[in-house]
Amino acid sequence: MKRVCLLALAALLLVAVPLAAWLYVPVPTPAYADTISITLFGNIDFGNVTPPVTKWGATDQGDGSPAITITVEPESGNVDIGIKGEITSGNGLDLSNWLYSENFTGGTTGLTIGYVKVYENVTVGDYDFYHWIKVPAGTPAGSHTVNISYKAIATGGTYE
Amino acid sequence: MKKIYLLALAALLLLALPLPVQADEAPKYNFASSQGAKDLKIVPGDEGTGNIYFYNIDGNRITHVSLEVSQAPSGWEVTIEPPLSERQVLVNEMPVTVVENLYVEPWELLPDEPGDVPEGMVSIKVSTRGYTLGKQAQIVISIPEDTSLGTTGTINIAAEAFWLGQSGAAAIKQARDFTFNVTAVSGSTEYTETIVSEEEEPIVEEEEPGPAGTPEPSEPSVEPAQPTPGTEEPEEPASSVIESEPAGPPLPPEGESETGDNIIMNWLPVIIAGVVVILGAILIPVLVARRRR
Repeated sequence: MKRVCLLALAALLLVAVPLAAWLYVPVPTPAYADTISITLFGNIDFGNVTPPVTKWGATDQGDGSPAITITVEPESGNVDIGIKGEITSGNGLDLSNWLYSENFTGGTTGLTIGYVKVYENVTVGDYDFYHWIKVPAGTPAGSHTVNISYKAIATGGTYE
Repeated sequence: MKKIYLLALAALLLLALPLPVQADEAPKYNFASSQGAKDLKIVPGDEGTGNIYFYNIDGNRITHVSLEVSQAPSGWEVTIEPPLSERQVLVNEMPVTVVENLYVEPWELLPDEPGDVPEGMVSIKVSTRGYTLGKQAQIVISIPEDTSLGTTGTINIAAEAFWLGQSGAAAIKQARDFTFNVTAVSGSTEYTETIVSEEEEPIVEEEEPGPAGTPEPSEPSVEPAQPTPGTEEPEEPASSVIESEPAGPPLPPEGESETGDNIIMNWLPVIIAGVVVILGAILIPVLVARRRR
């Protein structure tokens, strides 16, 4: 009886193992060429400004506390981060008067209509943008607003 | 009975608690995307599809996404699904009209691939983190029928992510580009290989002219230039075309390459079966002999 059981087991193995191997089809995992995840924190507001001012900071920012923090999330590859601006309302205040910097102290740069690379080849982590406004004498009173766009591209790419 | 009411009330409170907390939380504007295959092969006269996936696991605001074809070869038709359309949104109960292709709501990160995916959403694998649900945009590319095989073109899709309900002098946005490299390929799955040489003259052996109108036997197999599927028509009429039959086993269809891993995977069941049969043939008699002893 034991012999029969042993033979049956061997026969089962002979059939089952190749059959299982034959039936095994690995589930294809979708492949992604590029994954980028960026989170923005903060806001940019200047309140009421009386001209002339040369460097008026965003109301919520201070040294070590930027107006905007950009977080490169863990699933992202290395990226370059650029910035551009676009006037949405208000005449007489040129885009170049909307200033930014990676640091609270030091020089500032005016926004442009095309993207300018600010951070290069950065990985997971937080990246700061401080914002100021320059309002020359004679700027017409009224509401002045802009769109500020942050663009992350995979390192090595080019801004359009 | 009172206990049950109290428990039910407590459960309701617990369920309702996360909603106001999320609303009061400082805004987190997340724009997350994964691009599918960048290199697409499309048959002239046919269409191909590229995919871009959007998700939102690190934000707490709905991400609105607008997409635009910023670059495409002349004559190629590129459409985006879903198309750009107007949508009415209530922001703090105020109606706002947005123009967008899709929007992505904040969603949780899941440890495993979700079994049930709501209609209009897709399951997305987030590298090193898990899975989530998001939205898919399809880039449908049609190339003209007269496109020469081997022609390549670059399609660029400019994406802009924006968020409603922002306050202040500057509205912040995010932008991203998605590039697809398209190659025009033959629709034939049959393998052909053609060597086009414009420098060498066809080798034609001079033979006794046969009767007028009767074709000569074609030995050796050199024929005048003729367009064949999968090749461009030669510009110079003097060029020669040598068609060679592929030697050995047929090659895999275009776009696929049989790598070492694939060969092993294809033959794996046979290898396992062989090993098991050999082991069985050796071990079973040994075991039977031992039993008899």
